[in-house]
Amino acid sequence: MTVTQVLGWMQVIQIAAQTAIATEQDVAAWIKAKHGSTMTDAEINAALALIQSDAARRLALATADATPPTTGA
Amino acid sequence: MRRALSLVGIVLLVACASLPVKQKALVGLQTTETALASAQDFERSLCSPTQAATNGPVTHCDGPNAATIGLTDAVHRTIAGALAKAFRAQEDAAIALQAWQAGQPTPSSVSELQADIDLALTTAKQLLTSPSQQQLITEIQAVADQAATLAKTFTGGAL
Repeated sequence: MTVTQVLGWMQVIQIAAQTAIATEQDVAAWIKAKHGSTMTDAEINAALALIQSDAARRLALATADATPPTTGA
Repeated sequence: MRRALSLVGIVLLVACASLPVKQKALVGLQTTETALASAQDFERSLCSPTQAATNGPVTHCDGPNAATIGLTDAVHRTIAGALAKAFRAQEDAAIALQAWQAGQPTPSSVSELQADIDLALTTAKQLLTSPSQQQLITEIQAVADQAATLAKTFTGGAL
């Protein structure tokens, strides 16, 4: 992980804390609440990072589902 | 479900008409993520409600309705593979959008997202052909519709 990525994640954590986003699931409600007003670029990127995290979690689940079970010896 | 998601998408897009393109894209990507997750949850619960409830891998379709609608282990694995591609594209699109600035071309990963979700839909349609399987296809079709809406955000939105 590069310094830029670390700084990016620190910003995400900071924004998430400021906006009281606890989990990936909360991001949908947060965006909906913000839909009438302009979000800052940092807020948008924080929300995108949470979507990215949720997609990664579900990718792992789908990959596990798609993997045939191994037959034991 | 599809109608409800479409309605939410339309309401959000209308409400966001004057917002920056990047924020509109965020709303579109979030809607797509929600629809994609809903399709995954639905397919997994059809395959095996007990395994799906653990939030771990669903390795065997033993649900009471799985056999009736032809959702075999092989079909489940194929759909899961297509969904995995869609979630990977979703993840890539989220990464690309974080670096995207107004005035730049549409990130290629957004176009790839639409292609991968269309592939998931095509896969589901080919595998699930009976009327009783229609609800699952409808779920994935809703995702494809949202991905198309997301792609249009970049061409139809004002900066």
